[in-house]
Amino acid sequence: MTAERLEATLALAHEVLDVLDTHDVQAVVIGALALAVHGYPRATRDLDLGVATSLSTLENVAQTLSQRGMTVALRRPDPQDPLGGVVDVEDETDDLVQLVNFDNPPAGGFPRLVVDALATAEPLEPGARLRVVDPYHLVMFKLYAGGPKSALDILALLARAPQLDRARLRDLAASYRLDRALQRVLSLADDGLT
Amino acid sequence: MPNDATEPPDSLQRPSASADASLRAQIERERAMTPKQRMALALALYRRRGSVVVTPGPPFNRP
Repeated sequence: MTAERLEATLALAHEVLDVLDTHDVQAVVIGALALAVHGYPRATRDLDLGVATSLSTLENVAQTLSQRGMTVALRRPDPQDPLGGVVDVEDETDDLVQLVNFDNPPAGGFPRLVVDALATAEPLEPGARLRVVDPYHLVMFKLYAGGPKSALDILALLARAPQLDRARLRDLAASYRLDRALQRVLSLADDGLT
Repeated sequence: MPNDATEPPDSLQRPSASADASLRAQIERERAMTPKQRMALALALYRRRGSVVVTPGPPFNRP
């Protein structure tokens, strides 16, 4: 049953990828299922796909998904939003794929993070179309999201993946000006939270 | 006899050795899984919320 649920979610994700392809939008798996890939399985309902595109393209993607029979909900950003809109895509069996747009001009968002993550992403399995963010950039997405849940996700991931190079993590965080955020999270581990 | 203690016993204020061992065992089980098995587990954990999940293991308070 658990494998069937995953296959259904992956099938929905591939349908979403088909639509994104028609709009020349690339996507990378982020969020809790990327955490699971890299060693930390925690409860989640959905598969998150990070994208960096214009709001008008995101609206067109949502429209195409809807025309293909999927249940689609688009949440538009305001100018100060750190994200450039989110699209929830559901099928008739309650599977959920969420498109998270990191491009939100003129406020900014964080499109560079998606572009960089796409450059280093690996296929979920050999030959797979679905590509998963590497663990270092996954931590950056979590730092950008902020909040206690993201901090706990990072700490749990690091506890399960001790091979991750802390110096590389710090360098990457510094390149995105997320070094102080990373230090705050790592200090929680030093306080014995993990 | 009524329990009028104002603080939980020491045993509840720190992780027990058995809890530590249980967490380590869980992490080892997860580490042995494939990425797709862990993804399937993550989705299953969400749908198990609100239900009782029974896993094999020693009962509590066994000396």
